[in-house]
Amino acid sequence: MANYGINVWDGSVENCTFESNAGYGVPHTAVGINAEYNSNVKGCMFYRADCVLEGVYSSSTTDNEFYDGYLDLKYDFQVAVTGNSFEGRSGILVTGSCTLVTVSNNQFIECLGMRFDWNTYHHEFVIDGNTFADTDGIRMNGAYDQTSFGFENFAITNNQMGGIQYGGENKIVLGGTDSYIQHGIIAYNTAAIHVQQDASPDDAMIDITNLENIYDGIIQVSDNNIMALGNPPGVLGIALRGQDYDSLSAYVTGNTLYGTEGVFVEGHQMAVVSDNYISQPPGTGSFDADDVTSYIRVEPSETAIVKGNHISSGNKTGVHADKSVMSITAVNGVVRDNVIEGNEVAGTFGLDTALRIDGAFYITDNYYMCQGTRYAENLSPFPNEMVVLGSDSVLGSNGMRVDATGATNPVFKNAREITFSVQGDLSAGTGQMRWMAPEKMELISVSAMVGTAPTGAPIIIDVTQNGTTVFTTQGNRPTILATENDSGLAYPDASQTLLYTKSSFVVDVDQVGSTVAGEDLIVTVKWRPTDWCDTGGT
Amino acid sequence: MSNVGIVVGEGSVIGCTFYGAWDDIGYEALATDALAIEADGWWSNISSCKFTRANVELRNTQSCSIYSNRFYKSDIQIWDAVDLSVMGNTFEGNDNVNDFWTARINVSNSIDGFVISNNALHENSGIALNWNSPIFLWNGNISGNAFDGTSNVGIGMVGVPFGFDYIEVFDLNISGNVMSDWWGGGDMRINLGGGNDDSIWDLMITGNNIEGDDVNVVALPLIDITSESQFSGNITISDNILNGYAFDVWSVSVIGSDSFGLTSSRQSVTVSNNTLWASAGILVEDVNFITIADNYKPQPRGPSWSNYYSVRETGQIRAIASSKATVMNNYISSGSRASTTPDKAVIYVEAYEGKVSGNVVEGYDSAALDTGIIVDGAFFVNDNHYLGVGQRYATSETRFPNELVVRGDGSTIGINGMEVDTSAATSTTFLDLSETYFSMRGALAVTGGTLRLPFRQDVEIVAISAMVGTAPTGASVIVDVNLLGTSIFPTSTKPTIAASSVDSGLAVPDTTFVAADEYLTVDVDQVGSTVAGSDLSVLIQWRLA
Repeated sequence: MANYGINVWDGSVENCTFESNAGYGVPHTAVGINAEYNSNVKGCMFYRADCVLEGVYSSSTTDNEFYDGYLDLKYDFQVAVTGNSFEGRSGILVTGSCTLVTVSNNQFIECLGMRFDWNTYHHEFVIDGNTFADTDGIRMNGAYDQTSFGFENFAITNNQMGGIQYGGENKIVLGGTDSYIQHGIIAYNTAAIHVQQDASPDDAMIDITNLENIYDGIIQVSDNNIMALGNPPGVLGIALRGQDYDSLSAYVTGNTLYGTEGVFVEGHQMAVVSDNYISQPPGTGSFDADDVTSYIRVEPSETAIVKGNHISSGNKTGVHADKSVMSITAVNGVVRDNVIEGNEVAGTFGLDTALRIDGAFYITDNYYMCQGTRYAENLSPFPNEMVVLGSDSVLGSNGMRVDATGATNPVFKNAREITFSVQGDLSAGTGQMRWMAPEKMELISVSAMVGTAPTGAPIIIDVTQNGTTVFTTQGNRPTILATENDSGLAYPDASQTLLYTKSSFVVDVDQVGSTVAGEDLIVTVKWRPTDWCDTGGT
Repeated sequence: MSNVGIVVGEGSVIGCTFYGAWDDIGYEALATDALAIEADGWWSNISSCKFTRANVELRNTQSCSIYSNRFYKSDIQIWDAVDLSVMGNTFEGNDNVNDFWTARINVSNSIDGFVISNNALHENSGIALNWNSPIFLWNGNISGNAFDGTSNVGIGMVGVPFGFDYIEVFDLNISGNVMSDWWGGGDMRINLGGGNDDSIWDLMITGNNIEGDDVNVVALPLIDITSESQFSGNITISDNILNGYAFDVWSVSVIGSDSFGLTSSRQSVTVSNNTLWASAGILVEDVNFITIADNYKPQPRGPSWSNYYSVRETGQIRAIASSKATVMNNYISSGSRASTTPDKAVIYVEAYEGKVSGNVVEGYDSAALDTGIIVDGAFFVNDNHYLGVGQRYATSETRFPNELVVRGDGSTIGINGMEVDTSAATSTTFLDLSETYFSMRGALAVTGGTLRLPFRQDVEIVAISAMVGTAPTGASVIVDVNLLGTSIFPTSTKPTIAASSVDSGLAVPDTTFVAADEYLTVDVDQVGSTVAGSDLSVLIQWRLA
C-alpha cells in the first residue's frame, strides 16, 4: 500500500496486513485503517502503518500487531483495546478526547507505550493488565504546552512496566499546569527503570501534576512496586503535585519503592502517605556506588496523615534545604508509626534530620533506626532526630529524640513527673533528695512549690546528675521569689537533659530565704522516657 | 434475521452481524427478544460479531469464550456456564426512558469458573444478577471493565427476590473496574445479596473506582453486601476509591446475619485501605468478625465551595453487633449533614470485645453528630486522636462535646489524644495512670494541709485512697483533698478509713480536673477517737487530661 489503506465506517476489518514503503526507522505517514463509528479491527498486522480510530463508537480493537505503527485514538467513545502488541516506533497515541475506554492485556515492547495529547479530556478510562517492556510508559505527548489536560474516573491497574534490558522511562506521567486529574486509582502496577537515562531529580516514576484548582476529588496510588536501578541522580518514586489544597486529596499507600528518591506530595486538601516501604540499595552493591537519598515529603497541605512508612535514606547529597528524610508541612495532621533510617551526610544539602514536622500534629510511635549494620561505623547518626515546629502539636511516645524548641505549646503525652518533698522548715544543703533514673530519659523541666513563702530572699533549688548541675546557666535554677510560693518551670540546659539508666539524680536546696525560711517544699521533676542514637551510657 | 439465529455447540461464530428489528419502535411492538445465538454444549467461541436488538444465550455451556463483540441493545443471557470468558466486548443499551432495551451480561442461574474482563458497558447496561432463580457465582474474576451511563446497573442484583431465591458466591474477585455515574442516573454500584438464603464465601472487592449518582438521589451503598439469612466465609473490601458524590450513601455496607456471633457462623469482613469521598462512610453489622482499618475519608469543602457541597457530608464508621471488632488507623472527617443514626458518633463500635486504636476523627458539634468515638464492649482503646486544630472548620464551629465515650465492661484505655468519658463503663483500666503519694509519719492529728502538690500540665484526678500503718479505733480516719484550698469532695464521700481498718479503698472526687500550675493539699479531718491512726499515706491516681 501507499499512504492510505481502508476507511471503514460501521464495519469490521480482520486479518489484513498493512505495510507502507517507509524505510526502516523513518517516520511514516501511512494510515492502514481509518475507522469510524461502529468499526472493529481485529487480527491485523500494521507494519510502518497506523490504525486511526476517529469518532469510533462502541467498537473493539483486538489481537492486532503493530510494528512501527501507531494506534491513534481520537474522539472515541466506548472502545475496548485488548490483546494487541506494539513494537518499535509504535504505541497508542490518544490525540482526541475519549470516554469509556478499556486498554487491557496489550503488550508494548521497546516502543513509546501510551501517550496522551495535551488539550484532550478523558472520562472512564481503564488501563489494566498491560505489559510495557522498555517503553516510555504512560505519559503526556511532549512537554507542557500551555494547554490543558483532563483525566477523570480512571483506573491504571495491574500493569507491568520494565526497563531492564534496553532502557525506556517506563513511567506514568500525567498532567501539568492547567490539568485536572481526579477520582483515579493507580494500583498494583510494577515499574522498573534505569535511572541513568533521567537527569532530573524532580521527575517521578508515577508523576501526577494537577494544577487546575477548580476541581476536586481523590487520587489513590496504592500497592505499586517501583524500582529504580542505577546511579545518580535518581528519580522520585511517586509525585502528586497539586496547587490549591482546598480541593484535592492524595492517598499514597502500600507502595514498595526501591532505589528511588521516595514520595512527594504537595498542595492537597488532605495528603495521606501510609504504609509505604522505601528501601535502599546496598552501598557497595553492584548497582550503586553511593546510596540513593530518599525522602517522604509532604509540602503545604491542609491535613497530612503520614503513618506506617519505613524509609531508608542513603548518603547521596539531597536537594532540599530542610535536610530531612521525612518532612511534613501542613495545617494539621498525624505522623505516626514511621520508621526512618539513615546517617548524617556532609555537604550543603546533605541530610542531618530524620523527621521534620511543621504544623499542629499528633505525633507518636515514630522510630529512628540507626544502630544496625546497614551503615559503616564511620557514618554518624543524624544529629537531629525529630524536629517539631508549629503550634499545638501533641506528642506520644516516640523512639526518637525530640527537639521541640521551635514549637509553640507542644504537649508530651508520655511525660512523667516525680516529686520530692521536704516537710517543715527548709535548710540549705546538698543531696537532700536523691533519685536514680530508671531508664534512658530526657529531662523536661524542674519546678518547686512551698506551703509557706520565704521572705527576705528567694528559695533556690538545683539539680545535679552524676555530680554535675543540669542548670549550666545557674541563673536558670528553679527559684521561688520572696513572698511567693511557686517557682514556675525551670528548663535545664540542653546539653544536660539526657540521662542514662541508673544516672544519679540529686536535688539540692541552695538557698531557703533570709528573714523567714520557706516551709513544706515540693520539687517536681518532669521527664519522659526517650531514645536517641548513640551508644554512650549504660 | 427475525427471531431465530444460530444454535452453536462445539463451534465458532465469528464476524457476523445480527439485527433483531429494523427500528426501536417497530420492534417494541413485538415485545419479544430476538435470539441471535444460542450456545449449548462445549467449546463455543463468539467473536467480532455485532448484535443489534439480538441476544446471545448460553445454556449449559462449557469452555466458551465471547470476545470483541459489539452488543447494541442486546444482552448476553447466561443460564448455566462452566469455564466462561467474556472479554473485550462493548455493550450499549439505550438512555431513552421510553425504550426498554438493555445491553447487559445477565446471569440467571450459574457460572462456575469465569472471567468477565475489559469490557466497556454503557447506558442501560452492566452485569446483572437476576432474581428469577437461585444464582451461583463460583470461582470468577470480574476485572478491568468500564461502566458508565444512565440506567446502568453496575455489578449487582436486578429485580426483587421471591420464594426461595438466593445467591451463592464462592471465590469471586471483583477488581480494577471503573464505574461512573458521571452521565447521571443509574445504579452504579456493586450489589450482592439480599435474598432469602444467601451464602457468600470468599469474596474480594479490590482496586475499583466507583462514582455514585450525581443527578438522581439513589441512596444506596456503592458496595452493598447483604446476606441476612446465611453467610459464611471471608469478605475483603480493600483499596477501592469510592465517591458517593453529593448524597448520603454508605460507601460500603455489609450486613450479615450473625448478630454478636451468636449463630457461631464464620462470618468475617475486612474493609481496609479504601478512600471515601462525599459519603456517609462505612457500615458493617451483624457479622462475627469485623476489621475496618486504614480507610480515609476526607471532607469535601463546605458552604463556600460549590453547590455540590453546600452541606457537608456526614461521614461515619459503624461496626455494630459483632463478636469481635477491630477498628484501627482510620481517618474520617465528618460534616454537618444530618445522620440517621441515634448515637451521633463519627466512629461507633459495638462488639463483645476488640480493639479501637490509631483512628483520627475530625468534625464539629452539630445537630447531626456530637461525639468523636463511641466504644461499647470490652475493648483496647489506644492512640485515637481528635483533630480539632487548624483551619478546616470556621472558628465559630465548636468541638464535639463528647470526644471518646467508652461503655461496657472491662475496657483497657491507653493514651488517646481525646478526652475520655468512662462514666457509663465499668471495670475500666487506664494504662496511662500515674500515682502520687503524700505521707505523714507518726500519730495523726487533725490538720490543714500545707504541702502543696503542683501539676505542671492539665490532669484528671481518677481516684484517691488512704492507708494507715496503725488502724484508728472508736472512729474513722477521714482525709480530704483540696484544689487551691477548696475540697474536691464537696458531695462525694471523702477517703475514709473505718475504725479498726487500715485502708479506705478508692474514692472518686466530684472535682476531677486540675489545670496546669494548680496544686493540691491534703487535710486530715478526723483521726479516730479511742486510738488515733498513725503513719498515713494518701495515694492520688491521675492521668493527663
